[in-house]
Amino acid sequence: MTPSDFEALQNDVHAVFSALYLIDVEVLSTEQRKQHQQVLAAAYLAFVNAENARYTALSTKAKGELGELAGHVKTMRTQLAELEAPNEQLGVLGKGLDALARLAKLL
Amino acid sequence: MLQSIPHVAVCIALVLTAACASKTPLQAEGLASAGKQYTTTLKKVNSFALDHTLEFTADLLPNLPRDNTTLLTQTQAMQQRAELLQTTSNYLDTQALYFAELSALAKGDTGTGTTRALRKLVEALNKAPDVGGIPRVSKEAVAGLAGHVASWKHSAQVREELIRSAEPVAHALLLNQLILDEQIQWITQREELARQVEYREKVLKPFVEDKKLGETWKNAWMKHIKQVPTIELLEQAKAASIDMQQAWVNVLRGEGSFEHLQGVFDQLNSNIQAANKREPNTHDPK
Repeated sequence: MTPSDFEALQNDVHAVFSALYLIDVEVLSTEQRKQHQQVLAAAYLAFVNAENARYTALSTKAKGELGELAGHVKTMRTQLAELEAPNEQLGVLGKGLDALARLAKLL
Repeated sequence: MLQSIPHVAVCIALVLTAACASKTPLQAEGLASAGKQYTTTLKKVNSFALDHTLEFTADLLPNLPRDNTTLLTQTQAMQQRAELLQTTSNYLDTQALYFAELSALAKGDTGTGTTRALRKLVEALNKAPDVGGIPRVSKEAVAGLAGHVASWKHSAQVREELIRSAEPVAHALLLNQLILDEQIQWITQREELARQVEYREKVLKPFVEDKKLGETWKNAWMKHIKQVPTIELLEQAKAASIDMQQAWVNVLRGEGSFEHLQGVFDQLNSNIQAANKREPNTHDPK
């Protein structure tokens, strides 16, 4: 993963976290709120760890594995761009929970 | 009469040279003093960057799953952030020590203790820190800077020191700039998100719900329109950092004044104090 690839990944993670952060939870059901909490936690951890990783050097292991996860995050960001309703956005982001959690661990 | 002209010219040249030489220690001294203020200010921004992220995270935590794993992982990420910023703070301390020793040298302290300390500090600046994720500052960007040291404008000891430290110090100043850029990004992205939520909760919702709009609403609406003070502060820090890089090149050339820089740092420091006292934003996304 080159520095510019990493920067693109960081931008995507930021966009995904921002979308989650800006969802107004008042419009969500109790079950959706729980899901929102889970994905928000994973996305924020990935966001902070990406910032930390940029501040330090990325490990060689991480460089090798980041490519696949970067693809998942990019897809999430693209799908989000087409959606307005918070519950639909949450649906897309909820499906990406695994990828976000793996990303946060890897960074 | 004609024969006396060369003598007069030599005399004028000698007087001018002496005048310039007497200015030099003062210029190096001016830089040393501005340099100390610069590193102190950057340390404050560094500390502000940590506090800002911690505050945002602390406000976010109640909205995350209330389990041990969540708290542990978020806390560890913040501990790592604090360690990184401590490394930066230590690096800035090394720079502050360098400027203090340079000040002693400029004041005429040419003892072996001072020169040895300067040598060690330049070695330390050459080594640290390897902030690998941030694009590395190219050594080439500052290559040849030692050649800018205006020999005839500096005393022998100051000249020798400036030649040795021209590139390592310029390199450190460039790296500081990159670090500052990163910190500015951390703060501005969080500030922007908090601002959007604040607008939704304090301005938009009361307005569209046809609620009575009092002073609180009016103030929230006006606040949203104005530039965020935190961001303004960081722009000032960035500009001051660029000024400092120029000041370093100027002192090597034996030119420039540092009075304006001290004014910039005074203003910046008072703004940092004000930002620390400012009422925190509501980061709660709910």
